[in-house]
Amino acid sequence: MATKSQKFISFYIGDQQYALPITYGNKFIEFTRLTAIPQSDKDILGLIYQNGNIVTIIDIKRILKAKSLNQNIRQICLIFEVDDYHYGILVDQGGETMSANRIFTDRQKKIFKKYIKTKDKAKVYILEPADILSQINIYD
Amino acid sequence: MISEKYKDLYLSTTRQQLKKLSDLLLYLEKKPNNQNLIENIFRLIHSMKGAAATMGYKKTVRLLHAMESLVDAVYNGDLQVNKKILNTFFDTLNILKNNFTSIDSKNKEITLDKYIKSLKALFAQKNKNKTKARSKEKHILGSLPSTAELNVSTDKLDSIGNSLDDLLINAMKIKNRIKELGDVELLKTCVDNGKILSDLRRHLEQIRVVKLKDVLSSLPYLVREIAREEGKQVEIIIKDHDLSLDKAILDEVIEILIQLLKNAVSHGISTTQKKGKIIIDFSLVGDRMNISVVDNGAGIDWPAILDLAVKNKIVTRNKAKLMTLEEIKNLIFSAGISKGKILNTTSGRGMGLSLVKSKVEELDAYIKVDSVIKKGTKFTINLPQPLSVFRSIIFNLMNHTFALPLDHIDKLVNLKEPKSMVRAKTFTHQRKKYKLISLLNIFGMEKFDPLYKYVALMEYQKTKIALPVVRKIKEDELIMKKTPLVLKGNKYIKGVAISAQGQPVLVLDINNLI
Repeated sequence: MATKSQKFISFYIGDQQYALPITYGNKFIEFTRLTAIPQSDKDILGLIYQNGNIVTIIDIKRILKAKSLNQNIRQICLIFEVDDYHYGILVDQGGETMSANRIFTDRQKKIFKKYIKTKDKAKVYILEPADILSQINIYD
Repeated sequence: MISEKYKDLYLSTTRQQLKKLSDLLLYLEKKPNNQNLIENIFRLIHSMKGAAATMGYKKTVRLLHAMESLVDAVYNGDLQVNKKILNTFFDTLNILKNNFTSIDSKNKEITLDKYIKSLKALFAQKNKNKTKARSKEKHILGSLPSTAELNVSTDKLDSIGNSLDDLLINAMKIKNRIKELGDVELLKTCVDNGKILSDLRRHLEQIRVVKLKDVLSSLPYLVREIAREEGKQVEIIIKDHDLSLDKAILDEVIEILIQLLKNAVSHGISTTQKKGKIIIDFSLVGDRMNISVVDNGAGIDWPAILDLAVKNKIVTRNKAKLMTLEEIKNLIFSAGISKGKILNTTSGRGMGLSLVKSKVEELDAYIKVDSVIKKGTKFTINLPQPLSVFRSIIFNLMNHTFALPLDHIDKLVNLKEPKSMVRAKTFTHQRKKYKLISLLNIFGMEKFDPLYKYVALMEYQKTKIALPVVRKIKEDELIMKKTPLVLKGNKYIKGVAISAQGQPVLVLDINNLI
């Protein structure tokens, strides 16, 4: 399926590379101490404060059922914005920005089906912010 | 035509002018002979005409020119303000509003000929025999001082606020460090700086805060228009008690009020009623704002609402038999429930009150309804008042960090020895009995049995309550931030504040903890 060129920010969890569509406010930050929220969804790790904004940290590894290669790895947080609210996902390593003209669909997968291909034909799955949020019960 | 880049500025200014014009016309309805008022109206229309001409909106200019001529004739005594003239003015306001919406979305003016013709027809009736020697336009335009207003988007204010918060947090950090170092001179400077920064933040907040009466003044116009369309007589009384509210919150509140007013006029008050009345009353109760909208209309027939809910498959017939009055009352906020049998332009689509409810919930507020047949209906909205910079005790419970605003606390009792309170229902201090609140129970952590070291004593809305605290971290100044969605459903937490260490802290909502 041909589409117009889209830009992504890529990152790694374990040895799998993922991509998040670039939007205003994307950045990688050093991970700070979390404030846990009582009675919240298990996929929400807590809150951090970053540049004047409260950021809700989502356990993306739990959602993706992914694992870090090294459990002691110092995680970094990738921030994104949806409707003026700030969210963050913990990743193992930040990657380069990517540009793609073609988006593919993996029909075997139930969620996060879309992917792009690197030059060496590796699949990089796209994590759309709206899809990430649809996986958690934000008002739990 | 002037570049597109000025269109947003033009529209935002003109919309404000239009609102001001509607306020002035409503006032003119009460004081039709007030020359100063007529001068103000003329001046405003003249300014709007000038701006439209600059932008190249020719049809708008022609309409405003016709309106201006009519006001001029009124000013000079050639015409008397009457119901027909006022209704034409209000119709002109409506069409101008639609025109600006079209300019905004489609980038073109709508046809205004019909309205220009109506204004000109009224102008033609002026008493030609009555002439005055004075130079009319010069007199009107020369009589009032002009003021400059600046439009700043709330995004920009938020961005300045965020930078200021970071600055404030850094200042707190520095102050704490200097306290440890014991440099008294430097500490004094730091305290002064902290005060200046806090003042700056409060000033910034004041920019966002607007007086209720400045915004609510458009509601009588709205009620007047709906009542006129439906051939009803409705008086509206607004008791704002000189209160103010954050502009962003007030914008949402206005939308809620508009829907409630549409309902009250369309469904509450009947055409046979001679004195339809709606009262909007604002009051502060503790740290929350109560807004009530009361009408003296027909009232809501609850059994009929229940029948409608069954008919529209919102509840099953079996479930309906078991429902309490409070549950039935809640049905009115369900999508698809519509008391009005006829759809009209203002309400009756069965979506209004469900939208009201979702808007109310977005504001972390709640709404209730009381109604008596043939007496009327009362909607009450209870809204949390936003905190800004406040002093608080910060404490940990399990892996959570909570804040309790000092304003609420009467006394923090330091227990002689750590104590378990897992089974206690009350706490007695100096022969006074306090109801014990357990955060562990509230937040579903009953399996833990920590030893408490402090008890915070409070009296809130005549209830004496005690909140046990395991370990007080400290007492500090906190800065309230925008509540993330993840906390919107948690009624026990008012929001998130930032500590001097830049750590988010969960602020407890005492009102709901009780």
